[in-house]
Amino acid sequence: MIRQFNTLTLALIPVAVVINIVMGQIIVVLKLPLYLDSIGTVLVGALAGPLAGGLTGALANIVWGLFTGPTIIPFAITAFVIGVLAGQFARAGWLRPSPTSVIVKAMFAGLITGIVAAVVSAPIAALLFGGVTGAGTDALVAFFQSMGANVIQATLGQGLVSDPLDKTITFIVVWLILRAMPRRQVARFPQGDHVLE
Amino acid sequence: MPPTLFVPGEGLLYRWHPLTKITLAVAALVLTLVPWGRRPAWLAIPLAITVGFGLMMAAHGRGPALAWAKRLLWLVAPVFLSLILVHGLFYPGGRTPVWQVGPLTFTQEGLLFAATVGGRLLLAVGAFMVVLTTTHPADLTTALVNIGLSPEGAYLILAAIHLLPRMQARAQAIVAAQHARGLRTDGPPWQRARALLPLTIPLVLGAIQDVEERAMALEARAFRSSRPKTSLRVLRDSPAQRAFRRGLLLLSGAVTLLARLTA
Repeated sequence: MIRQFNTLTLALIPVAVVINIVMGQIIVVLKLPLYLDSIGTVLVGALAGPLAGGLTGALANIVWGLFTGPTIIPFAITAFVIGVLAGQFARAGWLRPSPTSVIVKAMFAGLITGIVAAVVSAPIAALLFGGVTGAGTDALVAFFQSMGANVIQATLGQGLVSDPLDKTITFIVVWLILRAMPRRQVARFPQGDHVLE
Repeated sequence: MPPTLFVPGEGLLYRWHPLTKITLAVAALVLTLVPWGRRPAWLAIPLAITVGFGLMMAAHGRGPALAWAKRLLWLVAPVFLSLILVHGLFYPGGRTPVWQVGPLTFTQEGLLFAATVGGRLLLAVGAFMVVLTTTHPADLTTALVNIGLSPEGAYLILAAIHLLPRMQARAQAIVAAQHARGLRTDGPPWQRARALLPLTIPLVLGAIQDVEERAMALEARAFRSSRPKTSLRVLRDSPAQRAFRRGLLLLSGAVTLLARLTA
């Protein structure tokens, strides 16, 4: 566990936190219906391990909260879970390179992470915000409620529509980043040997 | 200093130890556990406390007070609107109609739920916004170190705050450079999606490039040494503030418990 937090990891975490935040802003420029705000979290999870990944996710939400306001801080819990899952999937070898069959595994890891993220977020969003965020996705919550769902179910429904796709794309992007990084650099991180062939 | 929510100013809130302000916010957060919606008249209470926070901020001059009010409004107004529309119209337990607009009906239960959640949100966000507006991030992390956060943890938070503006500038440079090479970030969705990788990969790889250098710089400065570290910032605390913090927590806990039992 301590091994996850060598100095290289501690230097990487703040950089990854900022990558999360800046990616969230690039997505706004591209006007894509995604968040992609956990690329840094998944990257640290893959390179350094589950705990380091979880810490990165939680920290990113807290730091972003210092800039925009406290409403996103409760979702640090979801971000923590995303980082832990990324670390575990990498440890199990799901983010290793080599031909097509393996990127399918990375996509699958993203899909599962997205489902779990939706399940973890739903009660937080339902309890604290009545399931709404003030954005366009709120129409989905209204739709599920008009179909007979209660507040938590409707919030979960909304999350299950957007999170799995978002996290699948996040994992693909991270998989590509790991391929683009020099092998020597990847290998220096605590869990680097798990994401190399 | 990067543009966090901190607004420089003078006054009691600026002199207080960050923990005292955090306790104030936590006490407000505990109060949100009261089921205000069970008695509609109670809904005025979170509103009144938020107004109280507003008056406190107003005593600290125009700048901080306006910043606080503007950000609070900016954060909660869209959520309020959504709450009223989504739950006023489609709340699962909504039965009693209050207002009919064409085919849509606002129900009493739905509006009450919206008001309950809205009041809770207003109070919690307003309270923590007081802390963030009046506390320098470095003081906030120093206070967290005082109650047990490791100096490494403090570094992670402060390094991220300082890195953000640099990385934002870098992202803008990358967008501009790729535009110059003919990358299009407009048009139909598939074309915008194709722009994702040419923007992401250089940003992330460039950022990781610096990591090894930062790690060496940290080690050269005995960052991992386990010996006690001295802090540049020293926070002032007082016995009165410590007593105030304890009293505040007890009071809010007692009020919440009482309100839950009698609701």
